Amino acid sequence: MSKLLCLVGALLLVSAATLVAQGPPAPRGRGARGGRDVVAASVSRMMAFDADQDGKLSKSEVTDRRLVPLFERADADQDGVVTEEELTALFKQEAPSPRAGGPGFGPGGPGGFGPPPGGAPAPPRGGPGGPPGDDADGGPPPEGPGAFAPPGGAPPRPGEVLPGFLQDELQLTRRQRAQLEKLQQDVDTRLAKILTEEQRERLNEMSQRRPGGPPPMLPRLAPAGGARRPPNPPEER
Amino acid sequence: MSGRLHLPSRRAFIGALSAGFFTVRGAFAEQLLLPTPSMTEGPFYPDKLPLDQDNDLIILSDNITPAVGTITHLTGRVLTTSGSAVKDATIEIWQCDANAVYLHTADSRPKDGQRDKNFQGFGRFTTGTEGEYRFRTIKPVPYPGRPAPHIHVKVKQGDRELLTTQIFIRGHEGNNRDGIINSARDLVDRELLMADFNPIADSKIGECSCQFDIILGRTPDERAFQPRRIVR
Repeated sequence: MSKLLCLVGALLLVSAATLVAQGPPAPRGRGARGGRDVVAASVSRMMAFDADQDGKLSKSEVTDRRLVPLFERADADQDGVVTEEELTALFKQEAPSPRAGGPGFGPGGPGGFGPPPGGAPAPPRGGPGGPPGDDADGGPPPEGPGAFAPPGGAPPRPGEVLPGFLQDELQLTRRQRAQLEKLQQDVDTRLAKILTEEQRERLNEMSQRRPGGPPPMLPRLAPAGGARRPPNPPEER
Repeated sequence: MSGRLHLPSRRAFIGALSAGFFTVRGAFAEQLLLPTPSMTEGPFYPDKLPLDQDNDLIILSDNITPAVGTITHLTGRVLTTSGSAVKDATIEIWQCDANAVYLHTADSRPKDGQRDKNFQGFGRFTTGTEGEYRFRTIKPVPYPGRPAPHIHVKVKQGDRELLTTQIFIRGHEGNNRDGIINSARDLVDRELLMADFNPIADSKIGECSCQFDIILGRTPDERAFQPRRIVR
C-alpha cells in the first residue's frame, strides 16, 4: 500500500517537475519589448532546427519553410549557413524598441487598470503619436488589457463596471445607463459584503496611494492576505 | 501478490514516464513545423454574420459590383506540426474593407457612409483532404489604431475553436508600430504571422496572391485558454 502511495507521489513529483521545467509562460503582452530574454528565446527556438547539432543552421535544416525568409535575413554573410551570432544580431535588430507600439494589447496581456510593470515609460495607450489602441478600433471594448485605461482622464475606481468615459464612448442610451447604475450598486453592495472591513480599507488606501498616476492594479475580489501584493497586474488568465 | 514482484516494472514504468517527460526538449530537435501562434480576436468578429458567407469576399451574392481594393487570392493549407493535413477544418476570415470599416454593427453603423457595401467582410471555407483552403478577398489595409494591415483568422473543427490569429503583410511599414504585433512574445512567432502578398504577374487588374499555411499545435480548444475564472 505504501508502495502504491510512493508511486503516486513519484508520479505527482514527476509531473510537477515537468510543469516547473516548462517554467512560467513568458511574460505575456509585453514579452517582446526588446529584452535580451526575448532575443535569446527566439534564437533558441530557431536553433532547435539544428538537426545535426553542429551549432549552425543550414537552409535544409529549416524544415518550416515559413522561416526561410527569416533565415535569409539572418544570413548576413550569405554563406548559406546561419550561426547563433547571426540570429542574435538579427533579432536584436528586429526586436521592437521599448517605445514601439502600445504594450500589452495581446491576448492575456497584463490586465485591467494597472500601470505597466516596472513603471515602463510607455503609457498603455495614446503614447507619443500613439493610436487609440488595440483593435481598439473604437468599438466595443477590446478584450485586450489596457482597454480600460481612460484616455488621460481619472482612473476608474475598483469595481467600477464601466467608467464614465467608456459609457460615453459606447454611447449608452439613457435606459442602459440606468441599468448600469443599478448593476453598479449591486456590485458595490456585494463587493462590500465579500471583503472584510480591513480589506475594504486597504482597497481604499491603495486606490488613493498615487493621486497623480494610474492606480495600482487592484486584485479583483482578491482573496484576503494579499498584503504584500505588488502593484503589478497579475496574470489575468 | 507481493509488491516486490512488481517493483521492477513499476520502476521501469516511472522511468519510462520520466524519460518521456525529460526528453521533450530533445524532441524539439526534430521539429518540423512550428505552430501558428494565436493572436487576439479583436472586437470585430461579425456580430451579425452576413447572408453570404462563402469564400469569395469580393462579390456579394447576386451583386455585380466588386468590392474596392486590391484583389487577393489567399490560399494555404491547414497542417499539424508534423505536416499532416487537417481536413474538415473550417477557416473563417474577417477584415475591414478598403475604407477601414468592419462588418460589425459597432463599426459599420457609425461609419455607414464610409463603408464599402460591396465587400463581404467575412468568409468561410472548409478544408478538404489535403487541408487546403482558398479565399478571394482584398489586400488588408491599416485600421485606425492598427497600423499593421491584417486579416483575422479563426480555425474551427466541429464546435471546437482551434486557433484565432491574424495574418500580416511581410515588410509593411506599419508592422513595427503595431501594438498587437509588438505584443507577440517571440520574434519567431511574429515571423510566422507574416505573409507575402505578391502581385500576380499576368493579372490585368493588379491582383495579388498570398500563401499562408496554418499549423495547428496541440491546442485542444482555444477557449480552454481563456481566463480561468470562466472555466467551470
